[in-house]
Amino acid sequence: MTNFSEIDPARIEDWAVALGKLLTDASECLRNNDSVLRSECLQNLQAFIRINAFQTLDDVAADTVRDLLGASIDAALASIAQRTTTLQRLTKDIQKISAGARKDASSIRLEAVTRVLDASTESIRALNDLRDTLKGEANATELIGKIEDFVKKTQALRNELERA
Amino acid sequence: MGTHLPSGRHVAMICLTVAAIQLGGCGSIPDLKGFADATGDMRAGITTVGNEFAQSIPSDLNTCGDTSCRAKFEDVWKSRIEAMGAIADYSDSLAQIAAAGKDGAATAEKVLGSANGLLGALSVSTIPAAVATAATKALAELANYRALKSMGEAIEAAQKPIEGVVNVLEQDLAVLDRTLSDISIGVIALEENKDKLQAGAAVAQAELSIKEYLRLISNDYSSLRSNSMNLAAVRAGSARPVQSGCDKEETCVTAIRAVDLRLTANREQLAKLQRDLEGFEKSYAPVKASKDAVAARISTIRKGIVHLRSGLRDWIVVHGALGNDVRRSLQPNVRQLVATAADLRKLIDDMRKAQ
Repeated sequence: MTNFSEIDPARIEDWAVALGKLLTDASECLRNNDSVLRSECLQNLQAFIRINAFQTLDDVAADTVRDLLGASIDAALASIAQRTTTLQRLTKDIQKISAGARKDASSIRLEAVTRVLDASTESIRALNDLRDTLKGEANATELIGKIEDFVKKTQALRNELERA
Repeated sequence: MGTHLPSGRHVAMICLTVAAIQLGGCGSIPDLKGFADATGDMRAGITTVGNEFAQSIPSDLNTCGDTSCRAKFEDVWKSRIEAMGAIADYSDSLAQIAAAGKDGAATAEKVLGSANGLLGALSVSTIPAAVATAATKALAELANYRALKSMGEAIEAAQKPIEGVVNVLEQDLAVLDRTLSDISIGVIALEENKDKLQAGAAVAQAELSIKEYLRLISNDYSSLRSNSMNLAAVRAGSARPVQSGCDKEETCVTAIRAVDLRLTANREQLAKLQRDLEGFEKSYAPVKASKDAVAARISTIRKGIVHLRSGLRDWIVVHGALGNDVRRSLQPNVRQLVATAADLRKLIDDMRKAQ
């Protein structure tokens, strides 16, 4: 880091010379886009602003600090952005694996089997209820017959499955 | 009324039991709670560190084109949050498989309950208790086997893409850390510059003047010392002065009186300047506090980044070993990962509180 201790605090011309050197270094940092050099330039400018007593020189140094900060953030954004496409592709791969794993979890819980059994039970109950309701109706004989036939066929199917 | 249970059902249950026995040697399913919780902390860390970084970018920089640098950063960081979210979601899906495998008996009871419901609706006798017990045991074994197999496959498939994501995040976090160091130095320099427009300039000026007075006073004391010694020598009858300066009674007396007057005036002036400086420093204190706050805030974010990077490295090691742990029925060693995640969680809380 630059040492300013030998500069006479009261002589603006000496401080201007020191600033001139820092500005030349800063131009080099901006041209090279080197993060290590940029950090060093920022540190020297910060020390200059902290130590010297001349506001006008400080203002020039502060403008250069802004330029270097802007360059640092630009470089960071560019570096991060260039990896985004790769990251998005990898993210999709992981999402596919997670979707498969969730499907497996659901299958292990036999959710589909339970759902089918419950839905079948509800259907049979609803058909039995409907048959009982229709029993008093004169014109419903044919329909009642069809419902009873369906329930019998379902029982037969179940028995077939038992034997299989 | 129900009919007798057909023998076919017994056969099915026996087949299931035999199948479960054939899966013999099924290991125990690892507990993934600590792993899933730590992954959740990593996700929160990526989000919080990103937010904090965006807030640290000075708003008055003429860069990043038409968009503000904060908005531009938030846009690119969104995909990092999504990637970490996908990893957290994946951990959760593993935990779901583990839970499904462990809950095999409960699942079996639920299925048998549903089957009995259907048999009841069909007016057929329900499954006898002994058969149900055997079936529950067999289904539980089967669930355990399927869970271990499914977890093993998912872990193997996920390792490579997750390593890829962690590698990208590692590089991104290193860039954020380096940039935060620049932001810290730059923002403090700009604050320093603002100070000089206010109390800082007066403080600097007063400090310069005090330094100058101290130099004058020190010189005058030297002069007073040598003139006093010379006057003593003159009065003792010595022909030559012992120090540089006066060499006669009259010039020595005049010099001593002049230095005394100047010293008294300069000391009064110095005391006044020192009082002024104290006043300036009091008005400078809030600005200094603001600079300290910037430094402290950035330091906390950088600590968060250190923990996050370390946590991601631990995470990938634990995940890499998890496939083997599942195959060998070992509990995953997540102690280090959980400890790092706990430190990270504390830092995240601190950052959120400071917002």
